[in-house]
Amino acid sequence: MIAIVNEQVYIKLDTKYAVDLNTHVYVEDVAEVYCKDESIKKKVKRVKIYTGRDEESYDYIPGDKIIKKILEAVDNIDINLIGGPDILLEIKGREDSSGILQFLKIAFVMLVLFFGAGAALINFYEDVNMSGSIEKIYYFITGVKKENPLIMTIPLSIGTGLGMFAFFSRIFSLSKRRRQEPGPLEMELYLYDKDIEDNILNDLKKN
Amino acid sequence: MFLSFSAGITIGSAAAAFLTLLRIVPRLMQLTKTKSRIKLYEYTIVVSSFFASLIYFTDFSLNASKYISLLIAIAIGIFYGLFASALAEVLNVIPVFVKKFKAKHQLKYIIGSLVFGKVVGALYYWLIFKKS
Repeated sequence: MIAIVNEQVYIKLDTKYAVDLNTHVYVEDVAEVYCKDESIKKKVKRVKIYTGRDEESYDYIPGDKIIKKILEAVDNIDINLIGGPDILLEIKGREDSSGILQFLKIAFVMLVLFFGAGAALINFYEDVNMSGSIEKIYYFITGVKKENPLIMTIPLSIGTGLGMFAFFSRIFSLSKRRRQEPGPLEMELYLYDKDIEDNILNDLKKN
Repeated sequence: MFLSFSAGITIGSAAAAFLTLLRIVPRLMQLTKTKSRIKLYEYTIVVSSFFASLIYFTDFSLNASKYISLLIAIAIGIFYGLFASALAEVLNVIPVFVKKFKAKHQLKYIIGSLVFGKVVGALYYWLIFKKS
């Protein structure tokens, strides 16, 4: 009597994978496969695990689904997963890195950083005296010494609001993928929740 | 002269460390999708700090139109807004409040009121408080 010995297949999953629109994902894209039998290795590599989408978004492939798909396609194997259980998929189209818009964006960020960092330093020298540093900057630009120049302080106030909004808000974009990215506050909330859960678990374990 | 030089080095590295801690530049890069230009942004901050020190300690003036100062003030304001909110975020106040009041899905209203309050407070300070 001959016992059927299943071939051992080891699969090492990546944690992250970026894929184009309307492109299917195969095992060989997201994982490394180790197996003694070359033909099985080749078969496993060509298993389709994700059907491409025509919309930019984030998605994930759970590890158990990958095992299920491979077991359906290839017989007589044992699968051992190494590495993370899930894969984060980033579905995105070709990015247009050229053009005037990109240049304007970079110029805008540079402008904000240039004057902002400069003003922050001047403010520091002036003992965090905002009106004093504003008057200093106003004098530098116009050459007129004026107390409380409203032409600078009103835009400064509005700009502060804009900056806060830019920092906290989620991104407004046509692409679903960009809108799925969390803002910093949401990230902080998630980390805080996680810390609390860890703490509770730790307390429970002690008793 | 050596004393002031070392003082400058201390101030410069402290300012750079502070900016790095607040993660303003990464946030701006995430918003504008320009991660590849990080070197450019670094040099911008370095050059800007140098010129700011120079402007502060000299009596030099450009004698330009005052409308240029309006644009510059908006840029400074945006940076300060990012700065203030990054600082508030590092201090971890809002997550605690949101947790306490179970207001996870009303987060956008909290942010909205924060922004609104900031602008109103700043305008009050400059227009009414400073006048009297």
